[in-house]
Amino acid sequence: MKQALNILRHPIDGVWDMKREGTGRYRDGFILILLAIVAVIFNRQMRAFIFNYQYNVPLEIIKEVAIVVLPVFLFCLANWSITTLMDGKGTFKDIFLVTCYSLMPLIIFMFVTPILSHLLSLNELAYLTIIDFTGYAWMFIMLYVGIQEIHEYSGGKMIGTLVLTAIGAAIIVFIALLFFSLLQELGSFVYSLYREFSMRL
Amino acid sequence: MKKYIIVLLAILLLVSAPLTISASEPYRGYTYSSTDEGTLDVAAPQAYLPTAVYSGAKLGVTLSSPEDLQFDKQGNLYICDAGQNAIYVFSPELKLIRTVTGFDNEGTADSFSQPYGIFVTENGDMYVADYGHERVVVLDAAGKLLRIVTRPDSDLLTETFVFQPQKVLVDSANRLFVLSKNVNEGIMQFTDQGKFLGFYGSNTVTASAVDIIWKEIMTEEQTEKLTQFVPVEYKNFSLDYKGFIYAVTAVSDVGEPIRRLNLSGGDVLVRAPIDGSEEVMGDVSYPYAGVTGIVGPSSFVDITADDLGNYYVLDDKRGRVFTYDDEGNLLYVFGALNSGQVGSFSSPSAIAYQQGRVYALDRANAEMIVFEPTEYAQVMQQAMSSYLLQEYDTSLELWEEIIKRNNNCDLAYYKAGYCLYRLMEYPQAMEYFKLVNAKEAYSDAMVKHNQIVMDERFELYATIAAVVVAAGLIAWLTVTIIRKRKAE
Repeated sequence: MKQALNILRHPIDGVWDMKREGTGRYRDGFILILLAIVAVIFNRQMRAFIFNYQYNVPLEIIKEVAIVVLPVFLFCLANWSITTLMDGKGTFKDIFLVTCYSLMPLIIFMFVTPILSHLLSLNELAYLTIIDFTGYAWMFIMLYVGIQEIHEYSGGKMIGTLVLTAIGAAIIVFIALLFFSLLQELGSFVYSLYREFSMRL
Repeated sequence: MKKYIIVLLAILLLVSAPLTISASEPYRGYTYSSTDEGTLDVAAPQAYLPTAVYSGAKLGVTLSSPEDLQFDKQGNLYICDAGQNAIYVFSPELKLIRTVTGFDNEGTADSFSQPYGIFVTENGDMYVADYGHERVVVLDAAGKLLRIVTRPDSDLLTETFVFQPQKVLVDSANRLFVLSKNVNEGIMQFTDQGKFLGFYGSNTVTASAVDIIWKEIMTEEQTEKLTQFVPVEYKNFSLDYKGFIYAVTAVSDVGEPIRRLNLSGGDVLVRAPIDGSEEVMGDVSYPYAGVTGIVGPSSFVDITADDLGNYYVLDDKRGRVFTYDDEGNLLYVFGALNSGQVGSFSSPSAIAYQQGRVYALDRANAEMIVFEPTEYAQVMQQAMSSYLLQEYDTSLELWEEIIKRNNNCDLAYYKAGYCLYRLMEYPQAMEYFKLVNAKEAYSDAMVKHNQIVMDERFELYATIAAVVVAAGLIAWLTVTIIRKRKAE
């Protein structure tokens, strides 16, 4: 907890301390992901009616979990695959923890903005947008700085690996889709085979 | 023996029970409801039902292809029949007054050929679109020829242009408007003396960005081979009670199929329905190509307006009449095509509104169908008129009555919310706005409500705020003082 606050206040030094002293725990990361899921659901459910465009849409927990978990793991996986080939000093654990720690601003903002939104009218939409944007911007800045720190990259190389990470993530998504559609084909093939046999025998 | 009697009685009871006969409506009532998941097609009570069907025989005339109908100021009904080349005039009780089949054209007897449209001015002058003879004939109330408008000589018209008037209209400024066949430049506009002034209410062509880029790249020969982008032709028009012209185009997914034209020909139709769709186009969800049966958007043939600001649009593709209010909210849909029941259309050609009723002509069946409002539509019309008269109490009660009858009616919740808003019952208004997802209206009501709360309890909140600030300051001061002392 203390470490989390430290990273939130001084992202660069905090991440450096965590890496040097080896105080990072997978447990902390999972707790943060859980908190982020709760925050996303809180934001979705508690946001005032006028700013909530999903007000009448029923909540699907699986969908909300996927919104948080999938991007985090996709980013970690893609970034790890790229940086191991590009002299990154960070381990998978480091990448994962940095990603999770950078969710903190998002968690805080997603608990605060829904409460704030009840005090505002539609005319003040701009303020809420700015606050939301600040949360996302802070998150991305923390992610950028943290990843750069654990891999000990220079600015140019960092941007290059980020671009490659995006491409890598796209490839992973593509392969996953391909895999699942093939699995589906296989499943339907086995099923039709079973039907064929059960009809004939 | 006793057993047998009991069994027999039981069978008799079973057989006789389902002998109730009920007449069902010839069509399904529905409306559209918007949610965050999209616009849904939901059931609604019947608003208008066909109460009478007048065939030619019932009216005492021969109808073979009735094309247009029009009520004059006195409530007399004029029906023009393109098959019989005649115009029939009926009293408000639908008794035949006279039949106009010809007129005296400077000494010689003249007649109509396929009259497709009729318009009657306030003083009883009749304008007939004499399609077959390529002219517009103007007769006075007594049937005497006033003038004939023929093909104008104008640079605006090409050499090959043929003047084939199908619909006519005269506005409050005595301008004559003519819809001629195959003219897509707009509505032809004449002075009351028949001098051609030009085109009015021209359609705009919709070309996408991709089309424009292609046009730049392609050679002229290639461009000519492409299907030409031409504006859509107007199909029909009518005047509303304020003197604006409502016009419809047949294709409804291109541009704006329904327009309200002002004096200079600009489109001033309000398209601000509460669902935020900014669309007034008849059916919103419909099957696309590839399905058996009728596909594609509604195709309008006629429009008429009532004195509340509502307008009725006739779709000949599905035989439906769509009713909109002056903000573009869909009020109700009625009518059906070939449902096999009395009161359904086969090939609808025209509609007119008169005294709460909607009169529609059917070309193929050669009959006139009269639709009368049900209690549901009457309540809704009363609710709207009392809202316009600023009687918000009455209007609120009526809209709540509508909600009881049709809890899918988004408009009723919205209007009830606005009545409450006007009555300064903001929290209740907010409840209604929330139910129909009207975020802007909700926000407005919330601001008003907050103002009242602040006005009432400003002292309380100000005291609380002052106390909190003061306590914070004192706490901060004590903490710093204690720290300083400790440091010393």
